Amino acid sequence: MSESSPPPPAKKSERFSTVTTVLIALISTIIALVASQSALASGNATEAQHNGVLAKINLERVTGSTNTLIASNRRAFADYHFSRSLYFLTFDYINQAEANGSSPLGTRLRLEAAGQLEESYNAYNYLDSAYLIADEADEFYDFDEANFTNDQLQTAAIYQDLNYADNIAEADSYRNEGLYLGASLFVWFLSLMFVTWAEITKSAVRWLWLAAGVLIALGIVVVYVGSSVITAMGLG
Amino acid sequence: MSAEPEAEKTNVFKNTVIVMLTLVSVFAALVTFLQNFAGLQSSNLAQTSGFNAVDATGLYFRAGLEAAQGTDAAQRYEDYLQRSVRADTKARALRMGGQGELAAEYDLDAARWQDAAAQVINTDPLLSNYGQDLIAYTEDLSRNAYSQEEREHTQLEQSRAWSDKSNGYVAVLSTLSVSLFLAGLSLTLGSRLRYLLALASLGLTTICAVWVLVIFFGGVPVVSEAAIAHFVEGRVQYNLANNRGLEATDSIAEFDAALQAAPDFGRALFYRSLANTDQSLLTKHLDTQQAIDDGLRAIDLGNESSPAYGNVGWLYYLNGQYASALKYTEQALSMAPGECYLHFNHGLILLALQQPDDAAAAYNAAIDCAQRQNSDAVFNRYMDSGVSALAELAAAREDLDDILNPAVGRLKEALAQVRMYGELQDNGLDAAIEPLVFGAGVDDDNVVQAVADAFPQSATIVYAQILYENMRDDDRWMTRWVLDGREYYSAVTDQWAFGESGTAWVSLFNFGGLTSGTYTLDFFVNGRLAASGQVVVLPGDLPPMTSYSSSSVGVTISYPRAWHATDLADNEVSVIAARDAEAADFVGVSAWVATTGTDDDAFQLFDLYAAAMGDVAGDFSIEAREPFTVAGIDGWLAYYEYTNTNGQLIQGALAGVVDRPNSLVYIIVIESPDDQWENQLDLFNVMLERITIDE
Repeated sequence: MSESSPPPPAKKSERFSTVTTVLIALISTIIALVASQSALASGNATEAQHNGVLAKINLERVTGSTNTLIASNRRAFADYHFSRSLYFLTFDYINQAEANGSSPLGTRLRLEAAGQLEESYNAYNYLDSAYLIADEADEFYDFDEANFTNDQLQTAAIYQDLNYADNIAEADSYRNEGLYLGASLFVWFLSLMFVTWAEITKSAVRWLWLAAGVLIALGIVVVYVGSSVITAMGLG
Repeated sequence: MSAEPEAEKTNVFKNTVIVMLTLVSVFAALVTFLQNFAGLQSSNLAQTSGFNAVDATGLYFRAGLEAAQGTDAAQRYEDYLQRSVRADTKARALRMGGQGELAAEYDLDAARWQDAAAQVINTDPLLSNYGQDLIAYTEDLSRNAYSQEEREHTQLEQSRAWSDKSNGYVAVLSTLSVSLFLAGLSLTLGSRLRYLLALASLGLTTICAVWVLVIFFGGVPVVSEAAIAHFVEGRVQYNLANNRGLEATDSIAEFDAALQAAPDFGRALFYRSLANTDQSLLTKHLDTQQAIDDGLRAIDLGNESSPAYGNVGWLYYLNGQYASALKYTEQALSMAPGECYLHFNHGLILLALQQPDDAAAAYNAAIDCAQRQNSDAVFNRYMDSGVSALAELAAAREDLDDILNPAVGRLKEALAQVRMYGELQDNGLDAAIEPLVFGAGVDDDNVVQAVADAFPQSATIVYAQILYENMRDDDRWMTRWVLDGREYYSAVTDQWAFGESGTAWVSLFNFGGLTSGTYTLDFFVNGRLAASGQVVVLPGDLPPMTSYSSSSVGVTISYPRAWHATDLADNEVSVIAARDAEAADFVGVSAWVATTGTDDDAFQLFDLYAAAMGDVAGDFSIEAREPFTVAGIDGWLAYYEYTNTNGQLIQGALAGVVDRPNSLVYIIVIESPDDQWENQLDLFNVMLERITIDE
C-alpha cells in the first residue's frame, strides 16, 4: 500500500488556458452557425428574386393577353364607332341632297346609311359592351382600357402570383440579412483571433487579448439582440 | 544546457505561426464576406436584368399593338379619302361630259367622304401627329422598350463583372486554404523545413492580399441613365435612317454623347461603328477607321457576335486591309455559317487577296446559302448585291479584272439558271453573241438604229441589238435588265425562233418613261451568260414616271410615280385620272361617244364643260380654243382658270380629240394651282405627249 499526495491545486495559468480553450470552442461553433445562416439568407434572397421575376413574367403574360383582347375590342369599337358616325354624317348629306325633294343621290345615300348602321350593329356584337364609355348623350365614345385591364388582372391574380414587388422586397431583405451575417462573421473571427492570442501569450498582455476577444463577442451579441428586438418591433 | 534555448525558439516559432494563422483566418473571413457580397450583387443584377428583359418584351408588344391600331386607323382614313377622290374624279368626268347637275351630286359625295376622313384623323397619333409615318411612329412607341432593353444589357454586363469578382474571391479563398494548410503543417514539424513552410504560407498570404486589392478595385461597367437616353435616341435615328434607306450619320452625335457619358458602353460603340459603315466601296466617305476602332473595342468589351466580327471584316475590306478583313470575316462565319452575306464578303475578300480558287469555293458556298433562303426575292437580292460588290471592286482595282469577271459571270449565271430551270445546271454554251449595242429604234431588217450608250430622260424605249451565231431552235434564253443593281425586268423564252445565225433585237419599254439610271442587260442562253451590255438613261427635270393603261377608257397615261391613279368606268362615265395627293394637280382623260364624228363633237363638249364649270365657279373663264395634237390625232385645246371651293386660283387646260374610227371623243383636263402652273408645264407637256389611245 502506498499513498500518493493529492494533486496540487490548478495553477492560475492552467485555469486561464482552460477558459480560453472553452471560449475558442464556443466562438468556433458560433462562427459555423452564423456562416450557415448567412448562406441560408443568401439562398433565400436568390429564390425570392427568382420568384419576383416569375411573377413579372406572369404579369406580362396576362397583360399581353389582355392587350390582345383590348386590341380586338378596339378594332370592333372603331368599326362600330366610325360606321355609326358615318351613318349620321351620311344622313346630313341626305338632307342636303334632298333639300329640293327626292334625288338619285339621296336614294343612294339612304341605302348606304342603312348599310352603315348594320355594320355598326355587327361590330357592336364583337365588343365587350360592359367596358364602353358613353357621353352625356349616351353615345359610346371610347373603350375603357384601364378598367378592362384591371378586371383581367384581378381575375388572373386568383390563380397565379402577379405581384412581383413583394418578392423583390423580400429578396432585398434576405440579401441585407445575408450581408449583415457575413459582416458579423468577420467580427467573430476577430474575437476568435484575440482569444487565441490570449491562449498563447504568457505575459500579462494575455488579459488584454482575452478582454478584447470577450468584449468583441459581447458587442456582436448585443448587436444581434438589438437588431432582433428592432425587427420584432417592426421598426427595422 | 542547450535544450532550453532550442525549446524557447520553438515556442516563439509556434506562437508566431499561430498568430499568423489567426490573422489569415480573419483575412479569409473578410474575403468570404467580399465573395458573398459580389455573389449577391451578381445574382441580384442578373435577376434584375431578367426582370427588365421581361418588361422590355411587354413594352415591345404594347408598341406593336399600338402601331397596329394606328395602321387600322390609317387604312380607314385612306379608304375614306380614296372614296372622296373617286367621287371627285367622277364629278370632274361628268363635267367633261357636260353633266353638271349629276356632277354636283358627286361633289357632295366627295365632300361627305372628306368629312368622314376628317373624323378619323384625330383618333390616332399616327394620323394626327405623325402624318402616317408608321416607321417614325413605331420607333417612338418603342423608346421605352429600347431603354429597358439597354438596362437589361447593362445589368447583365454588371452581373458578369460581379460574377468575375466573386469567382476571383473564391480563387483567393482556395489559395488561402493552401496557405493555412502550410502554416498548420509547419507547426507539426521539428526540422528546419518548418521555416520554409511558414515562409511559403506567408508569401501566399501576401500574394492573396495583393490579389484581393486588385479584384476589389477592379471596375464594374457603369452605364448611366443619361448615356442610355442618348443611346436610345441614337438607336431610334439609326433605325429610322436604315428603314428609309438613308445613311445614319445623324445618329452618330447621339452615340458620341452616350460614349462621353459612359466610355465603355459596348453597344453604343457597336452602333456607332455600324453608323460609320459605308455600304459601297466606290462611294466610301464615312470614318472607316473610327468604325474599325469602335467595332474592335465593342468586341473587346464582350460583344463577340457574328455581326460585330462580320462588320469589322467588311470595314477592313473597305479600308483595303484584306488580311484583317479575311480574319474577322472567317471568325464571323465560324459563328454564323448560315449568314449568306458573310459568304459573299468572304469570296469578295479572297478575290481582293488574289486567291481565285479559294474565292470560287467561297462563292459556291454563298450561292448554296442563298439558294437555301425561302424567297426567290432574297436569292435575287443576294446575287445582285454580290455582282454589285464585285463591280465596285473591279472599278477600284482594274488590275483584278481577270479574276473578278469569272466571279461576276458565276453569280449572274447562278441566278439565271435558278430562274430558267429552278436549279443550278452545268450546260455548255455553243452560241456566240456579239457585244450588245443599244439604240432608240429598229428598222425592218432588225437592225437597231440611232445607236448610243446614253439616252435622254424622255426615252420610253431602248432597243438592244443581238448579233448571234450557233443558236439552236431548242435553246432556252433569258434577258435580264438590271437598273442600278436591282432587277428592272426579265423574261425567259423556252425556244429560239430566229434561226441559227442573224440579227435580232430585244427592247426595254416603259410608257411612263424609262427611269433614269444605268441599265445592265444580260443575255443568257441555256443558263449561260452569252452577252452583256450597259446603257444609261440620263437624269432630267422630270420626276420618276410611271404609266397606267385603262382598258375601260382605252387610253394609257403617263404620270409621276408619286401621284395616284383612278380608273373609273360605269354606265355614266369612263375616266382615267392621276392626281397629286398633296396638291391640286390633276390630269384626267374621259371618253365619250361621238355623235357627228367631226370636231363639232369636241367643241360641243368644250361648251358643255365651260357651262358646267361656270355653275360651280362663278369666275370660271376659258380662252379661245386652238389646234392641238393628242396621241397623234389632231384636236383642240383651250386654257381656262377659276377659283376652287378652297379659294385657290386654278389654271387648267381642256383638250379634245375625236377618234373617228372608233366614234369616240376624248376629253382631257389638266389642272394645277396658279402659282405652280409654270413649274409644271414641262411635266404636263410630257404627260400630254405620252397619252396614247389603245387600238
